[in-house]
Amino acid sequence: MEHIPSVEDLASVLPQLTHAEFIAAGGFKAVYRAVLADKQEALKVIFLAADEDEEGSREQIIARVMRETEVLNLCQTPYLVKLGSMQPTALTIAGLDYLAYTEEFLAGQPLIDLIRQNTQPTFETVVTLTQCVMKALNEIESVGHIHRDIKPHNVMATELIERPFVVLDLGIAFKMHGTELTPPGSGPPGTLLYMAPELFRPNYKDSLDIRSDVYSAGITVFEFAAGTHPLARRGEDVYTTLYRILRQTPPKLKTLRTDFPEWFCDMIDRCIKKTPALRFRNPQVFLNDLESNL
Amino acid sequence: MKVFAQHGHQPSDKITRGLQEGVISGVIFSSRFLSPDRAQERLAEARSAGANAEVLIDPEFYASRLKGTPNCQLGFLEKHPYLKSYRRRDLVRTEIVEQALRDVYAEIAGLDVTAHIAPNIYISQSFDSMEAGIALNFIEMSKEIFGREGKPVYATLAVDRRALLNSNDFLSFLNDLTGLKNPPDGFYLLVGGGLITERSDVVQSEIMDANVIGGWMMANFSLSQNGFRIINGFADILTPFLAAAGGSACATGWWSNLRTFSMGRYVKPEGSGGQLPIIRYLSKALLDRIKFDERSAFSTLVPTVVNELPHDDDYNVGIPGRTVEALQTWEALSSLNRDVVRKDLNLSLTNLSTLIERASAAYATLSRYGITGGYETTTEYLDQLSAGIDVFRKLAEL
Repeated sequence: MEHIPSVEDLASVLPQLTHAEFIAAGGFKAVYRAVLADKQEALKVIFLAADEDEEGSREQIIARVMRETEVLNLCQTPYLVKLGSMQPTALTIAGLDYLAYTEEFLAGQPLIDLIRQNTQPTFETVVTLTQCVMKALNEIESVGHIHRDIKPHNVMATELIERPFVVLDLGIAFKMHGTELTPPGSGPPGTLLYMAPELFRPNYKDSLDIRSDVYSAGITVFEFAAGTHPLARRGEDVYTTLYRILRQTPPKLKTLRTDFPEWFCDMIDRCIKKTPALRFRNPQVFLNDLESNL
Repeated sequence: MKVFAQHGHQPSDKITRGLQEGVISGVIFSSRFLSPDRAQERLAEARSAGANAEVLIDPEFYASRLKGTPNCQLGFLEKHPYLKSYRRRDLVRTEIVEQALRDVYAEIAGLDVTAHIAPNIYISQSFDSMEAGIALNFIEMSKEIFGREGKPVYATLAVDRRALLNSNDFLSFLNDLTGLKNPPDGFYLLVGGGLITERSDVVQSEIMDANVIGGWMMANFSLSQNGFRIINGFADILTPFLAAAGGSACATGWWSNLRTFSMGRYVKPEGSGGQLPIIRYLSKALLDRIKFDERSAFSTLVPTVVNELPHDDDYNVGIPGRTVEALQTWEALSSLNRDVVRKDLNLSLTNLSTLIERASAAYATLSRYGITGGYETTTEYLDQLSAGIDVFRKLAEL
């Protein structure tokens, strides 16, 4: 993100925050840890470009933030990150405009870090991850939305027994039958490695539904379980990866985790089928099947 | 996987005997051949013939496109007020579709069926068409209107073989179908072929195409994976293939136009009369029907041509009647299902391939003895069956 405000700058405009500490930045967003009313929270600061020619219009970014907070307000599941005590607030720092709000602060590691550490998770851990992610998706769908950016970077492995994995970042959530936030011709939002094949079609919004998230969840679980992405190879160019996503059949999870039960591997393999009609119809159907097998 | 009777002209006691013997588990009555005055009586007969018989009525609403055309033969359908001539541009309106569904339900409600078949139009060319959109609209409203009695609701999905040939459009349609918010409990799936003026044997050759077979299997697979029950009408020899792919039931009947679906069945053929088809025998080993005398001749050279099932006794003593021919067909198909279908899909597909190889080997043996047979005993269609499995594997991402 450009124009990342310093901790001191933030303290000057948000005096109620203390102990602020920069964590990470990406896209238009920077994340800080801070204390607000004696409670640690994650402060999200979003840069609002002044010029319409900048990548992503100001209105679009504001609308996305409002949508994210709207969805989080509607959802009750513990497997989705909760909003903090600060509602979206406009800020001006050194003549630049920002929008800031807080979410709960979750101590732990992003799933992607665990994958990079090459930890071979146990079957029980993988099942728990799957349940948490699918329950989060189920809740998002129940309020008429799609996440659209499920990936290991957006799943936090926490230290909380009752919430071992929590889904983050609904910044590009899609509201079914809602107002369009992505400008025409801008291409599908998401992260290529985790995007369902149908999202690469020009008319993808014609049939977009929760099964695209089921695909991304399947890829995420597969990568965590196997320690390797089912389709992408390190160092290859984006077109090759795209070809694999669209055309290549991924390996069976069972071939990489021979210690896992076949039925579970089959379920994850089914999540990452290229044709949505071959995947689970929705996360609840997946969870029902999982429950009946466990 | 169950085998059902596809009801049609001259049923006599075929269905009741089939249910009593247990070679069929249900029946799909044709509204065209079921007198409205005697419908309740026929349904009661079927239900009493088999303790757990599944009894359904196909309202054949898709025939409404032929209403009023010259030479159409709609039988008792003409007595049903729901069979109106609709303009396609009217059917794109949701309220018209809803009324059409209500009109059919008004005539079927209260009949002693075990489940309802909700009506639909025929998708004649493409899944990327106005017709396909209309069909989805019918399907989406089926459960709400036909589910009031608490009985399962099967939405009709009647498509022409040509629609299955464009796999992109077909898969997109399946995506839409499996994503419906108010889906029915299952589907009554019909795949038709041929122009309406063509003979049913021509239609059969059109259905026996690798892309059609593979697509039909794929429809069964993806819909069953999504929790739907699939009843395949007019499935005949494809029964074990559709069963392996996840179909719940397949129906077939005693005339060729009850074994292969075509909109041509609602149009009088040019010229009239002709001989009744000769009695045939469905050989599991050949995956085909052969004439009575061929059965005797072939079995001396290739004994496995004879199924060794109870109705073989009827063929051993002379040419049986039409009822026994139907019973023998159902018996053979049920037996094929038992031979093929396993919980493991890959195993089922392997079993199907083994059946095809066995049939090829049997034909090769007959050929070595100089028996090449006619059109229906050639092995060309075995190649299509085999290639159909390959098409299915590709579509199903196996």
